[in-house]
Amino acid sequence: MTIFRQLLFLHWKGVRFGLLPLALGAFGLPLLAVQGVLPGGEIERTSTVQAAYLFHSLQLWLPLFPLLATLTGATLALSAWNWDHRGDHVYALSLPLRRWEYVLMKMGAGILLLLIPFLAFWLGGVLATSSLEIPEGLRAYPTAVALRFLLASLVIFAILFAMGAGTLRTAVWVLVTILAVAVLGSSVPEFLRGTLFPGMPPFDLLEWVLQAALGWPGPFEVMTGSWMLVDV
Amino acid sequence: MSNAIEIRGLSWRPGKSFALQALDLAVPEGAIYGFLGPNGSGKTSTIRLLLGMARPQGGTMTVLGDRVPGDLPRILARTGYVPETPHLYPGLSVTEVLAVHRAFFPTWDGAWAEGLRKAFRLEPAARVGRLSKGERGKLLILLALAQRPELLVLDEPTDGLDPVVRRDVLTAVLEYVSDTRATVFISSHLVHELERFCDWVGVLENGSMLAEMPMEIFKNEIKRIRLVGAPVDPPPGLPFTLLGRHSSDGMAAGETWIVRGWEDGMSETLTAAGARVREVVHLDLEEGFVELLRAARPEVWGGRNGPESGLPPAPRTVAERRRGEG
Amino acid sequence: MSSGSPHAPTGKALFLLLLALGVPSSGARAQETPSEAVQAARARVDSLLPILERLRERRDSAREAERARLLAESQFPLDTFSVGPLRVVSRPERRELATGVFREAWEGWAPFAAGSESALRSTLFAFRYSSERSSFLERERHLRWVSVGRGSRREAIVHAAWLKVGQALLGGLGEDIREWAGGQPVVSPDRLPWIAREVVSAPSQAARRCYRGDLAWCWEALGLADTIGAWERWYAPDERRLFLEKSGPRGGADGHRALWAGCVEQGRDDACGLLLEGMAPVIPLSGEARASFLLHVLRRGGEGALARLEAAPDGTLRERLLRASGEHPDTLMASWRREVLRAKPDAWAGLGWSPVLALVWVLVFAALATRSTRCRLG
Repeated sequence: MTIFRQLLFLHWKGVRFGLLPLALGAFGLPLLAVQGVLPGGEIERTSTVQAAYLFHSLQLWLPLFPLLATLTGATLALSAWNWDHRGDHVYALSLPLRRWEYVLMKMGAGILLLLIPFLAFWLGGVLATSSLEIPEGLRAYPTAVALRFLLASLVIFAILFAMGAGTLRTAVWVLVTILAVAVLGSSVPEFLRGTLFPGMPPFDLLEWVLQAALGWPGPFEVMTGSWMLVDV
Repeated sequence: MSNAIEIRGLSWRPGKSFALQALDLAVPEGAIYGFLGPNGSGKTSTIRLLLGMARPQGGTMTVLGDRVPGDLPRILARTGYVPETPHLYPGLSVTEVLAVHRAFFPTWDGAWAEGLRKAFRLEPAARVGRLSKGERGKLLILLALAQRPELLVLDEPTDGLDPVVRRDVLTAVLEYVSDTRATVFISSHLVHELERFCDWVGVLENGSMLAEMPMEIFKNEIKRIRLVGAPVDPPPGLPFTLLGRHSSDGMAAGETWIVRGWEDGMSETLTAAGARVREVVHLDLEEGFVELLRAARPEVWGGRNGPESGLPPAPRTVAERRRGEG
Repeated sequence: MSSGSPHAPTGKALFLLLLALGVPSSGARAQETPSEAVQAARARVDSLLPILERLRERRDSAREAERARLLAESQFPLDTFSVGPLRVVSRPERRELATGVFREAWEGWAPFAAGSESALRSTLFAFRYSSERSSFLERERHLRWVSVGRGSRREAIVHAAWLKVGQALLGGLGEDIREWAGGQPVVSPDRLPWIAREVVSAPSQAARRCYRGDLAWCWEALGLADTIGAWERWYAPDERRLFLEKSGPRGGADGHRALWAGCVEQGRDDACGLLLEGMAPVIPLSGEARASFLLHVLRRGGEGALARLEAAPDGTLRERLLRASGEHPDTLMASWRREVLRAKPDAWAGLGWSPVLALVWVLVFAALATRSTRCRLG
């Protein structure tokens, strides 16, 4: 526990200046998303009109929710290894700890710190939805959306943490593979079909990879669900 | 006497230009072992392999009775390590560094750590990133010593430090060793510094161990002999090792031989071969170290016992000799 | 009908003929009470039906000939086979799968489409994997393509085929029904949750009353009532203002812009009313919702429902739908409303199995991270 506490402290020290703005952003984003919906005002609004304004406002800000979750996960993952990378991991490697124990404890520390922006987002969502007159037939989902935020940032954190734990060569291979699929995934199969393998069925590797990643049971499936704070 | 560190046949090739080749090394328990070698000889690589930070291609390593890498956590719990390049997290204060380090070592001596901190004049709130080179060096030694290790592995701990700091660091190490009989494995290219307190020495050059013996023997063993009428081919069965030879500058019909293992009374063997010993000069550690390097790689370090000289080849390494003896 | 196809002239001729006869346009205005003028126009159309039928047959023959030519010219072996009343073409290695899929798809329509198979006579369904896109009769546009990804599950393939069969079946319905249904008379059942969302949240008092359970207002919200005075009935003043706000001011006439500003910015209802006077009322629930009601009518009508709908062009659309369903209006509408609202998820933003999946991936990457080697220094 003492070791974990120190690893948590180390991670906090390295990330606090990045984490606080993220937490503020996570708190403020739900509030911004409902700011366009006036609970009252000069013009009398029926609840259906309020629903329309609410949906419109939420859908405008909606793309920022998964984006913020991604940024949060990435910040915590990269900061977990920042100091280790700068010191060539020598300090960590000289500690009397199995490598996997060290890695898992660091990961646990990062996950614990992820709870800060999650709680901020949840609080912001609760405040935002409680400040509204929810139109008839609609419900507020601050907890569900906050959980989705947590899960999305957790997945991004886990992926980038695993990459950061590896050697530079591993990270380079991963990035090169991603770039290769992104840049050549559509064109290379077509080229091969047009030249060496005319009988080969058309295949878009990039499309396949995106579908596999974003759909069930891909790692980013949690990001593609509903992020609407208020819905039916 | 058991060995705190034992390396047998260690080989490692990280790239095309350098390799550790069948390295043998033994550090007796309780010894202060000076690991000498020029820059790029493989000292830091050997230490990193010893602490499991790199994977060798062959050979075995044992530290404090435990195998590397299988028992590494147990080894590292009893080993204080000061790396060549400071590796501490720059954003932490001195106090925070001590607190973090303490968590990993159950043998941590908090009172002594605090005493050392004061002795080293390290401000508790000072950030590691803002410490001077000397202060960082002292902090690293503090961390290594305060965990009360059985083995201290120091990789060029005084490199780049001013004489005052060097003295502080080495004094702290010696005081610890005298109290606890811990083993010290210290690598350096500063020969004169190691000469004063190491009781064992190993010389590494280009990935191979050239010599390993008690310091006293090393300091007394290498001598320069001036000869007149030296034979072209040295007679067989000489009781000493000829490291190199060259014409003596400024003297007529003479040669200078660099030998190891010379003792009084050996002149007769050369007289029997028709040579006359004019002078035997004792070499100190640094001079002996340089001559050893020259004999091993004359194309790098200078010296005239290459193949074209007609002189005998470079001496066998420690490993080669052990294999020959075995 | 696709533009640029060899059959376009025949299609265009049909269209122009109908236009010349002054058949009333459909869509929001489909619910106009039949006037004597419309009845006269309909009588003229009825008299021309045999001619239209002959033109249609000629068009279908031409299409068949074109298809046969393309099939013969195909560089890949193709099988053309029948599955019930459906004609399907596929590569030989897909035949077994296509046969099973289309059989299941037809079973979804058979209960109420029996007797309406004539609409399928001129249709040729083609089954392929989407990766075969560019190799399989790409330029043949008169085929009804069922194109699925290689990894698609069987239910998804059957569903795709079901949609295509439905489009072919209901494509023969009158222009008025098709336009009322938003141009696409077949809607996938997995859209029901979204239709439920619409019923609950559409900015229309008609939709709101339907949601609250007033069935008469469901007919209004679906655009199956009289459209005279619809703007005032279907939309509260706030809602009309919202519609105009989203439409924006029309460029050009200053008068329109001033009215718009008076309506939207100053909140004057009279200005809103003037703006909407010239506009056909927008049906509160979308084409998708209406298409789902159409499908519901056919299912409730059971055997021969589609044939009844096709065969009875008289009366309002509401009357024709009721005749097709054979049910009392309240019974029909209540069942549709119930089905739609039942499809609404308990928690729209619910996470389902996503948390489990996300945690599994976190564990996977945690395991990968622990493979981080200690021996990383060169």
